[in-house]
Amino acid sequence: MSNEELERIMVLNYTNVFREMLLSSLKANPKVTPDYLSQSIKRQREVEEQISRRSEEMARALVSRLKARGYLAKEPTRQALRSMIRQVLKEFEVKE
Amino acid sequence: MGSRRGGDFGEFAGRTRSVGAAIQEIQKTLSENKPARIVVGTAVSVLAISNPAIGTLVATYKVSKAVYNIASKANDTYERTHDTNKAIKAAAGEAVHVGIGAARDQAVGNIVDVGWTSIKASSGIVTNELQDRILTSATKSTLTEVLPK
Repeated sequence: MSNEELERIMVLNYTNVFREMLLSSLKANPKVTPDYLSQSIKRQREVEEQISRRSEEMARALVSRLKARGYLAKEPTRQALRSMIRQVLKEFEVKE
Repeated sequence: MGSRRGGDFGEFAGRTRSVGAAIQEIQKTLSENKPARIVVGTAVSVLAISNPAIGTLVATYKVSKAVYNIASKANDTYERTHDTNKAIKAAAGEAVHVGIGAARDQAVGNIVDVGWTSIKASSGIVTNELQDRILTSATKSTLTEVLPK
C-alpha cells in the first residue's frame, strides 16, 4: 500500500468520526433530539446529507493540512495536531 | 454513540457552560427552521469548543494509522492469494493476533470489537468509553470500505 492509500484511509476515517459526532449532537442529545425528531423526514434527510458533506469537507481540509506539513509520514506533536483540528473546526463552524 | 447505541452527546462533549450554551444554539436553529447548513455549522461550533471532541479527533490520527496497517496486511494477503477470507483473517491477525471466522461484515465488526483494546494499546491512545463508541463505530465503517471485498 502507498502514501496515497494512507491519505485515502485518513480522509475516510476522519469523515466517519466527524459524521458520528455530528449525528450524535442531533440524535443522541436529550436537549436537542426531541426537536430534531419533530422535524419533517425531508428536513432530517437534508440535515443528514449536509452532515455527510461537511464531514468529508472537514476531513479533506484537515488531511490536506497534515499532508502539506509532512505529517502523514511523520507524526505531529499532540499540540500541533490539536491546533490544526481547532483551525479546521473554526473554519467550518457557523455562529448565528 | 448515536441513536442506535444510546449514549448522551452532552456527556461526551463535556458539561461546561460554553458547551451547554452552544448546544442550545443548535436547538434554536432547529426551532427557527434555519437552513441545514446553518444547523450543521452550529453543531460544528460545539465540537470546536469541546475538549473531549478534539481529544477524539487527536486519537483518530493514530487510529487511522492502525487502520492503514490492518488494511495493508489484508491487501497484501489478497494480492498474494486472491482470497477474501484469507485477507480478512490476515486483517484480524494484525488487529488482535487471533483468528476470526465469520462472514466479512461480521468479521470486520469483530476485528474492531475484539481488537479495540489492542489497537488502543499499540497506538498509545487514551480514550474514555464515550470516545471509544465514536471511534469504534467510525473504524468499523472505514474498514468495511477499505478491506478487500
